[in-house]
Amino acid sequence: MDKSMLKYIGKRLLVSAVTLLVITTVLFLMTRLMPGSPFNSEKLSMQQIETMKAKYGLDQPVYIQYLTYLKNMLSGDFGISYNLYKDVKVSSLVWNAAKISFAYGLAATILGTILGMLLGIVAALNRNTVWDTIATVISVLGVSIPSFVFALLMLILFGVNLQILPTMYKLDSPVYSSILPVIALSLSVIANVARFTRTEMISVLGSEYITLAQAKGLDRRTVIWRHALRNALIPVITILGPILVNLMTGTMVVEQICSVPGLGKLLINSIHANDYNIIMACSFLYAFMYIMMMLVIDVSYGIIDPRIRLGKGDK
Amino acid sequence: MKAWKKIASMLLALAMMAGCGSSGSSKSKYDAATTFRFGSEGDVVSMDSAYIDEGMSFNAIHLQQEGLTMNDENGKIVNGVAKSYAVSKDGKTYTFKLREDAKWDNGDPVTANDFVFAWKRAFKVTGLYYYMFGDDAAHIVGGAEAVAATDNGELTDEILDGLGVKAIDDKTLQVKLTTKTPYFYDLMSFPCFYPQNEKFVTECGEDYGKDAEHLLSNGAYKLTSWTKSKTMEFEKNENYFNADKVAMDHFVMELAMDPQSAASNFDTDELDFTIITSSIVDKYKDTDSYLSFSEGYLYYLELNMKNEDLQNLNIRKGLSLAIDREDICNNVLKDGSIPATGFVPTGLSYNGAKEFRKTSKATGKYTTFDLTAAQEAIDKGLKELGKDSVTLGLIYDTDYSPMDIYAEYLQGVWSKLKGVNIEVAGTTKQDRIYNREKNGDFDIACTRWGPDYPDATTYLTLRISGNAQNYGKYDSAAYDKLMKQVSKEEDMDKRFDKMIEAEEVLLADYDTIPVFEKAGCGLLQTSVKGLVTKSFGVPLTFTYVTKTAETK
Repeated sequence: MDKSMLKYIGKRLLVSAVTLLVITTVLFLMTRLMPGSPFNSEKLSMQQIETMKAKYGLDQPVYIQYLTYLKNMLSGDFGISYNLYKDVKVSSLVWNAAKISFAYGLAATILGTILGMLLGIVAALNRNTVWDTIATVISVLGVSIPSFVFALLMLILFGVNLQILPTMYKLDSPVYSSILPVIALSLSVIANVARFTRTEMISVLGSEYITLAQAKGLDRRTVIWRHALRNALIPVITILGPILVNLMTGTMVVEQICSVPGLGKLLINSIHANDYNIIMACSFLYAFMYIMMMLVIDVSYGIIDPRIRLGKGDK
Repeated sequence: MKAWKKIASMLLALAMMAGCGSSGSSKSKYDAATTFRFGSEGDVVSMDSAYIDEGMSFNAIHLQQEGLTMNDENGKIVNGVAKSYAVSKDGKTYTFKLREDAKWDNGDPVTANDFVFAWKRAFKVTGLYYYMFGDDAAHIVGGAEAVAATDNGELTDEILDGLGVKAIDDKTLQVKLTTKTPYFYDLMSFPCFYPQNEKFVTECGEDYGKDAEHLLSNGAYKLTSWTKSKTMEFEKNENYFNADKVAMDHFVMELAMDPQSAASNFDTDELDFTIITSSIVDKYKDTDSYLSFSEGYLYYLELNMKNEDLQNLNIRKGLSLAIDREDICNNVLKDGSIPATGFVPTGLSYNGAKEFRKTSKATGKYTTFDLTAAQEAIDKGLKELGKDSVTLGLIYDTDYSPMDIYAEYLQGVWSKLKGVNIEVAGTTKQDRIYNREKNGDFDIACTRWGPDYPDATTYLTLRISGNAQNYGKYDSAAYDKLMKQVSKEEDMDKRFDKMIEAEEVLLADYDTIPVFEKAGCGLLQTSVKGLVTKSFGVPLTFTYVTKTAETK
């Protein structure tokens, strides 16, 4: 790897770290600016609230709380839950929820990508036929209807009316009970990937090197699989990063509907309860994954296309 | 090309495994006939009796813990871990003999020291309910001092040693009270008075009560697994002294469910019991599965007595008279809630066989609906104030039901009154209580209160001048005097009469406007019998539930 590449990666890492710090700061301030406190029972006296605040260090000035939080966070300590799960370590709560959300996100992305690509290819190869129209309709529906509507529809149809799929997450059959939410989540992926694949395929199929390949007498299959598809898929892969992060970090409403104990559900519950540490940890994880994904994409672009890594001063 | 194919096939396989796998089956690992499955929107915060402070955690802990007293099949409070008890002549010393067969699920006997340890620990960990040991509820000797010291962060072992609870021997517990407390026996079924095994809790340290491994059971079930925000699984505790009465082998609690999904799961027979919200009541109201039970909460309007307009009795009276409580319960809430007829809810407080609401002549007298009389009162009030109209703010909580529809309703009915302008503002519960009410920054606030123990004073003390929850700063010398007499009175009949008298003073002042007593509603499979619901303490007791046959 040459020097400019290393410099580029270093610069990007630094920017990412600064971004994360800014996000953490803003998040911290926002949680503290929310009305009320984690101790919100009507039964608590002011005195009791003060005692609780002192116990958790919430009576300190905000900047001291912030510095303490940063210090602990750097050593991997995300604090404890104040009221959602009394005194339980946030890291274990978030990790348990994240495992499930990650699995769902990954499964939905893989399923959605495969089906979306197939749909896109079929549509591109059969332009302006009924197949193309079907693919377009599916894409438009998938993009415009939120996944939780699909989840609800499927829940009523397959869960309640036909009774062939479980309607809630079950610990003893996690795979079986994930079918419904994973399919619901994958629909938007299918739609996005299909749209992208179709557009890319069409533009690649119209390019000169395809004409050349055809002119060389290569059969249609080789042209499509070897020349067209491979080139068409590179841009598609770049949209998968954000899709994956979006899905993996918890899809709040679908998780709520299907009773999946994932990150999204944890985040919503913690916001309701003003449980600052959980809000911070969940949001931080979300930001961290997003930034890391962006970093990977930027760096890989840099490797593929050296023009990208040249900043203004590097000419 | 080969590599490409390989990757594609791997991805495909992964997707199949994750999305379309067929390894699972819809059958639960438990036999449905002997497993009770309960789903709820609520979540369990902790299983440490020193900490827990809300209904769902109470339900869960009561599955696996029993106190000195407990509910029987009919919800009546009877001896629990206590085999018998004796009360001294002055009513201030309780001596409980514990059952020989009361055991923890690790085989240790439940001893008197387990109570002493747990009660002291409630202060040490500064949960919510340590105040229950003091003069706000149990009146245990030294309780008030320990509460004050804990509040001020000055708790010492010496202060705790002054607490009037003593293990005479392994099976004899003595509790000394500062005053005769008629509800003390009932209070002993409240979770913060549950015992804890000192050796076990000390060994667990900070982990106690946070997962299934760090818990001991002396109740009907024992917790076998707990996935936070999701599921708690219990199995029958064969060491439970009342195990003969426990019909179910397993108990599964589905937590933090969306109410609509919970109802769907009830329809597909995945749940035996679930709590639902007003929004879906209509669909189930006429089915056999529909169940309505008192939640114990009284919803009332807190009026700020520092507001000049509200200082006028006729204005207050007019506001109360304009509310049709029947209408709001039957047509707005629709969940079985009943109109409030006083400040002490129905069925809460008894003196022997005499029930508070049935005994009081004030019942219903100050909560009538009469729009014409309301307008007359308002007109009279405006004249006294020398104003054409008054503008009052109404605050309510946006973060839990049914506060929003309730506030909307109030705005609707009060808009019919000429000369009254209502400005409604929604906020969060925390903001309403801790920023607005506690600082007196409100005119009228939609407020609620749930009872801590089955006695009228759990409500009546709220209105004593200087009480922390007296947000409206109601200050009546007559009321304070009567309440002082109530706290000192040792003759229970006189005490009861004084409480009734005090309540009437309060109601006649229209300082607080009681509106409705909230009910909860749920869906219970028709095959299930034996569910006990209570409006104070543990809301749901599942110990005695049975299923007559395979559901549906």
